[in-house]
Amino acid sequence: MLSLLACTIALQVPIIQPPRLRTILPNGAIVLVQKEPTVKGLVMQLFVSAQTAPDSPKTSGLRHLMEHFIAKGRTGTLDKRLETNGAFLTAETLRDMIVFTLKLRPADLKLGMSAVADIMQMGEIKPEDIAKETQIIREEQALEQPSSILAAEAWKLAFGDSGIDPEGDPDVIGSATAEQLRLLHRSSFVGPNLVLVVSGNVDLDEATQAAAATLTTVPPAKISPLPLRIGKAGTGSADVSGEARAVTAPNFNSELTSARLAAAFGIASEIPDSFVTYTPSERGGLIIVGETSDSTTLDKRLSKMDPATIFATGRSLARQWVKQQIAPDSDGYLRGMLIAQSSGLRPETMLDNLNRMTVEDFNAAVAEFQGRNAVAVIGHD
Amino acid sequence: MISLLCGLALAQADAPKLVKIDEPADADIAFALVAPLPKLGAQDMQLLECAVSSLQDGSEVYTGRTIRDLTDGRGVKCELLPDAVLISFQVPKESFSSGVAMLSSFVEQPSFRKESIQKAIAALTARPPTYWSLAMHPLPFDLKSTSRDELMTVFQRVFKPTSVTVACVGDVSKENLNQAWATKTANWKTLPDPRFPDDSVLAPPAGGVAGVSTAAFRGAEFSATDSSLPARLLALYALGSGKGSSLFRISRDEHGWSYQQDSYLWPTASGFQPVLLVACRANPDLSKRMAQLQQELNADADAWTEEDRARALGMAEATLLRDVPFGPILLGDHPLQGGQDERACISAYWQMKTGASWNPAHLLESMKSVDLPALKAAAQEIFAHSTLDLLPGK
Repeated sequence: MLSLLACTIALQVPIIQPPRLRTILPNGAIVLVQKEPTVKGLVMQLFVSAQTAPDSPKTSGLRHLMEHFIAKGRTGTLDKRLETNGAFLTAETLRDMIVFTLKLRPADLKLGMSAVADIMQMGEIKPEDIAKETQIIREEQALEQPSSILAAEAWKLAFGDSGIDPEGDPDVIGSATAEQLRLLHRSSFVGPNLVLVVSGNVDLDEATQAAAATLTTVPPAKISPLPLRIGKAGTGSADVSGEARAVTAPNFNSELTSARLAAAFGIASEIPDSFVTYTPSERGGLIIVGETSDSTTLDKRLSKMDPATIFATGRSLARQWVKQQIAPDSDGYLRGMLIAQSSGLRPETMLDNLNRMTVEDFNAAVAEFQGRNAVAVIGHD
Repeated sequence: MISLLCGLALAQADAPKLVKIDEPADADIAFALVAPLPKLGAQDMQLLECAVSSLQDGSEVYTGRTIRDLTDGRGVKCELLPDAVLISFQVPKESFSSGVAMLSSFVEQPSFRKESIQKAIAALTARPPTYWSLAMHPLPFDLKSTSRDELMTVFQRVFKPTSVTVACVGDVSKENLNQAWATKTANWKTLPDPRFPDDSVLAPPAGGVAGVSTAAFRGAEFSATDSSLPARLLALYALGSGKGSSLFRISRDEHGWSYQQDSYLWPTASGFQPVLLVACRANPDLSKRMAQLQQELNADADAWTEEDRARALGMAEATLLRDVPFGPILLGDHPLQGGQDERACISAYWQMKTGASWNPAHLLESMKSVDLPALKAAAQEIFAHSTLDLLPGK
């Protein structure tokens, strides 16, 4: 009786799992599972690094076109299947990666994995399909927001061809062939390019096994890291209303990046209807502050801005941004994006940097936005 | 006895509506206050827009820096919706009393300092219209100057002790909220409405933005308390929400005519209006294409099956229950996105609009009881009374 009781008690002892589990598969793909007991649904994100096929003027927009095709699933019925089950898929092409995000019911791990498997394969593509999708991408580009246009110009000024707009060149997209897309797909979907993040009230081991089984079908590959982006200052114009100032962000873990992000938030807090854009990049990127009104005040306000008055606000807003990204109800987007670039990048490092940031660090970062090291994009009135 | 009953009824009708949502684990408290728009002329609407924009600079008691400190740098959002004005912010839960005081101060004692008014006029004049705002909520602004008195006159037509609905989300009791709000607003006085209010009419937008045209199919308005709301809302999900929707399949996938096409439950003064919006590159065939699109949408809705109904319900579930930021219900210019602040805003807004609590699970259950014939009928109803507004891009 005693032994039976002991056995029962032992069986009832809960197995305490860590909050997240990262697994590197034999083919180089990474699975990150985050246990979030309080969230309303299950979120799965597939990050496909661009390191094997970075955009160049000759290939500008091909990754974007591929994203459009594979997001439909092999037979074009993926969205309907997902939406009928209360799930939703979005896809976006960034400079350093493509991100597919699935928002699912809490227990729909299996459905999510079958969707990821579907996304990872490319269906048949005919020339007329490419023509129609090119037309849709042209429609997409026509709707681009002024803030995105200002940001794209800033990237071009700072980094030239290595900062090319991931939206792409419509002429390159329009002349793409099915064979080009097939080759791009083959070079992109290799183990070391892929990170699958699963966030929700899941069992870490079960979700990791399911993700591993899904990703294990892709081949391994040897990949050399892409060179760092070396930015330069400059001034340019864009055919939209507004204005933007940008400074380089070395990489996510850098103290300089933290201070510059805090400075950007601080500056933006003083300017109504302003925006801050920062996409973390291991290769180096930009932190952009801008406004899109017809009569901009950014330049004037920046020149008169006293960093001391915005230090506390800038640091607080930067901290809030990071905390939101790693909060229990977040979807693991930032963490996944960082892992997709380097195993050493962690959101918590930026929080530590922000906590350690001195007034002098912050002042220097504000001065970067004010000074000649910045990239300035001027829109029309 | 009869007079006592009447007195009680009046007192209840006059009481401000306070909504409390318990979220004890939250470190913050979110406040939202919404007031419906009275019938305003075009000139008064500009004054109100200026007032709402100036309001972000604070009240007589709570100025910019204090607001930023109290809200941890997040500030206060003041938005002019098509049918209401919405004020919202979050504070750490220890600052509940200060939050109530700040909220009441905003509506009772807005500062409308000269510099704030000038800043607001400059910002609104320089605000570039977007294709979306021109199609859905055009607010042309040509006010050159105004005064605090002018702003207060229109402001107080909107914000009255009995017109506002306040929602509070976080770790606080309903009693504390009621008591704090009653104490802070005990002396709230407003001016009487003007005898001859402005009745100038808003001119329609002269044209769209460069390179983008829009087409808006607008159905007939209906009351926010209409029992057909679930059927109409489900029809909007089926028509224009998600990549399996009729609009997406026909306009984007089949014809390649557009990248963005959505359906909205658009708020109006008297209720809601179903709207289907298509945004596309400026092109000379817009009118012809949209006429064809309307026919094809009609035919598609006629041929909907249980699969389409199930897909629409799936989308509704994702957006209403799991905060997928999509769907026909908007808060200002964006769909519901989840988060404590948004829950406060939609709770206050829905209570004001429909007289009922915001209960997305209940709304979804009502939509599940809409069968296929009723769903098709709701879609056909939208088309039967729809007008098509085209706004060609410049």
